[in-house]
Amino acid sequence: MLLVGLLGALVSAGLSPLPGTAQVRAPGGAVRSVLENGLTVIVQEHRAADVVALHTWVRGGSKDEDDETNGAAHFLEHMLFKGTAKRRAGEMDREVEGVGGVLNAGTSLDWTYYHVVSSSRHFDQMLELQSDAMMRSTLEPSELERERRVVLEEINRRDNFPTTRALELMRGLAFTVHAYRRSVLGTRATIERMPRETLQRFYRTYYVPDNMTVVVVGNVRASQALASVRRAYAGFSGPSVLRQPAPVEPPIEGVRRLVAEQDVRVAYLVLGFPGPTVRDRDVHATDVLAYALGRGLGARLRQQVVERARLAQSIGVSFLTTEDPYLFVISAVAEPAHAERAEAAILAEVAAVADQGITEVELARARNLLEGEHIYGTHTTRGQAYTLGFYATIADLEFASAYLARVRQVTRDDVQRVARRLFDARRYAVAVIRPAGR
Amino acid sequence: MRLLAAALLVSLLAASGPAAGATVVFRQAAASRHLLENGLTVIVKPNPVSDLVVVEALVRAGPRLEEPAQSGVTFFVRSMLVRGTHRRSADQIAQTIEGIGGLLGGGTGSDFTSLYTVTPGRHLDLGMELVADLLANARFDPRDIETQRGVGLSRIRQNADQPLQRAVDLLGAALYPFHPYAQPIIGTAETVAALTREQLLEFYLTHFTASNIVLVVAGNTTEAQALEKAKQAFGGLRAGSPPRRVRWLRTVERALVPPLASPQEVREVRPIAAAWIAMGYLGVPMGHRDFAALRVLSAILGEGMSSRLFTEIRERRGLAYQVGSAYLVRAGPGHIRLSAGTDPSTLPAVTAAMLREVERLRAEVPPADELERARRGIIGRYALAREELEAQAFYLGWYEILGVGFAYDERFPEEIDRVTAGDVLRAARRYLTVPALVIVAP
Repeated sequence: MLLVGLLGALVSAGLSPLPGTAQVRAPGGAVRSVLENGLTVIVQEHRAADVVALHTWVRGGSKDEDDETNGAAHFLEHMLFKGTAKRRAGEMDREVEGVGGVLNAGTSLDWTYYHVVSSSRHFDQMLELQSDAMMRSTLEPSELERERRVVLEEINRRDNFPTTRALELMRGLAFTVHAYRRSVLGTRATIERMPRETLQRFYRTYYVPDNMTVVVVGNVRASQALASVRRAYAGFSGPSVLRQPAPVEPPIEGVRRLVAEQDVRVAYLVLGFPGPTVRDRDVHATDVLAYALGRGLGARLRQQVVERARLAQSIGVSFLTTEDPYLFVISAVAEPAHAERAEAAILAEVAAVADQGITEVELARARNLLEGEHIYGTHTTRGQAYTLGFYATIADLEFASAYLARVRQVTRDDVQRVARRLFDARRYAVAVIRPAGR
Repeated sequence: MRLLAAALLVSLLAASGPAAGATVVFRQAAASRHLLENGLTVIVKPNPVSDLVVVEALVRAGPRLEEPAQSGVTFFVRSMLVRGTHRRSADQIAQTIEGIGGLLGGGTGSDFTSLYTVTPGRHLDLGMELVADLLANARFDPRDIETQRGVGLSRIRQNADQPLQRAVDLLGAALYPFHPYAQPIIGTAETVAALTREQLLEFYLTHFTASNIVLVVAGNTTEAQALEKAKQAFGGLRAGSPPRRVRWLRTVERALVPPLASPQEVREVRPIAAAWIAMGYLGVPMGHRDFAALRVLSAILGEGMSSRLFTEIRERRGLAYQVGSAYLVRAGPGHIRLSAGTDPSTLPAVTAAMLREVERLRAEVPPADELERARRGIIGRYALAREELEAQAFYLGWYEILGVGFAYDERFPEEIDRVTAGDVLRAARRYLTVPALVIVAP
């Protein structure tokens, strides 16, 4: 089993508390402060290289859209660096790349995040630039029209990837009322007619201090980095987000199936089973279950369905941790003639886990591999910043800090209980993309 | 699960390489190279930033060293290693590494195939012993061969299902009509269907030998410790002289890649929503004096959000989501590749804009600020990629395989820094001459 030496070794040095700032120091060495305006700041010193990863996470994603505004969170993400009151379009990219930094961003169901990595001596400049975009983007109309075409191209690209399209189709089946049924990119129709006011409204509503988390990981002094963030976001304010309770998705009754024909040469299957939320006591056991079934060479589905039965050529499992109940997803690629049998074999295997559980050896493999990948995934500044930002946004810093300890406590009984809860061969959603005319 | 690379996470930049960023890497203990008696090259890079250690073996193989009739044999052989050795079943291999929470990975490129473990420092022995076992004792069970053949053939069809991948494969064939770089890494349906156990085994025994492998140990270890353990674990690896093909290819391969006589154009019609363009120009082998200038040229042209292709085609005109360029580094002649996805109606406009940007590079020297940004960008991405321990190990071994030696990894930023605007202009005029153009569109 891997140790947490990496996380433990990077405890930050002296940090002088600032007046009016509530601070929490997590066991891994990350320090969380909440500024007077409500902005959460997490700083972790990490001195392996002269690099700083600066993330800003916004708790707003496609979940916060409706049928009309679908795609707004992602469209806005594209627009955020297209000019501010201080900087013209294109200037931000040149400024970051001119100092050898890298800029990127991503949008998901529950959140949007922005990422700049640079050498530590450019940290203050990168922070000023990123905060400028968070607070003062102009969403300039002519830029918006150009970017609309770019997003439409991105939608085309999405639909050209069979695995992505199959996942989208499956989500559309699994959810009937909850916003998770919609695509993060939106649809061609919503993007074509989305007015600037929709993006402005999303920006004003969700890009407010107490709905955002700034994460700094790298070669910085925690106290100085915190002071820099405070300075950059001075004067930032906005009303708290009033969230309507999300509609409760009724349980799936029966098997919801969609078979789509497309210009493909193999069959792509995606199965979805309703899963627990980040606040559910089963969430860690679900991660372990995902590893036991679908991660690594020793994973149950690979061994049984790919290697022994040879009914699929590859199988993957993913369980994205979310605020509202989402899905435990199993994807497979199979010969078109074997697609039905591959699906049946997957169902038989997950039913066996629900009935008989997994062995002690399988449990140890799954827990240890999950832990090993987690440690490897957080040994870089960007990996650590992503992990802290992700969990802090959908839960809190404590969730991130306690994650591995909770994973180590997962037992065989926990895994079997979760498998029983999730896997019901009579209630799931499945989308299949297969070649036309067979 | 955080799903770093999930389909659900929609990135602003498509297909961006490893994230990047800084100009200075903290000085760590220098890497050192050693030669074992059986001919195995061992590179050690002590780096105690975390309690992790990477054991990575790179084998000189890949399409460059494949007979065209055996295209994909490297990928096939590499995939067989984890399916059982004379000492361990597939289950035992998985259990050995994953049971202790270690990672087993690797990949195949045009000039190499690789295999690595990542474990805590105290399991260095285990990582070494497992990698050595897979390199020396793979079993090639006939039933497992058929399983892998099915997986491989499926992968070939999955690649064909992705229009940009299809365009890239067609571009390789157009640029290298006489060189094995024309063949896709995973092979073709014909070759993978036909490869026999004897052929796989022969390739394995000929190429997976000590003198043809570079072993890199990076992470929480010392030079003395890593070297001693490498001798224990790998001392018994097959010796033998390098395969014939390895020896003669370097001298003749320039002749196998003649400049294109005239512009090539390949079109493939597909019932898809977007149109995909891949355009390429032949470049130089790794180690050539124009290499650094071509890297900077590509950065100016299409790497990053302030590059010319990105600003002109995406930012100013909104004609594409994915647009950019890359320089494909090869032991033999590499190439620069421009690519874009666009609406079928704007395909001619995007193709023309790409050619216009190429023409501009040939016509005038790049302004100083743009040159500087391109150099900073390359060096920044270089530094950031090396934050990751496995990448540190990989690059040291890769440069060794490519023939420039592991120490090139440290010289690289200086070489980039020395590139002048005149070098870029000269490289543009010399290499951006005759394009191969591939379009996959409805």
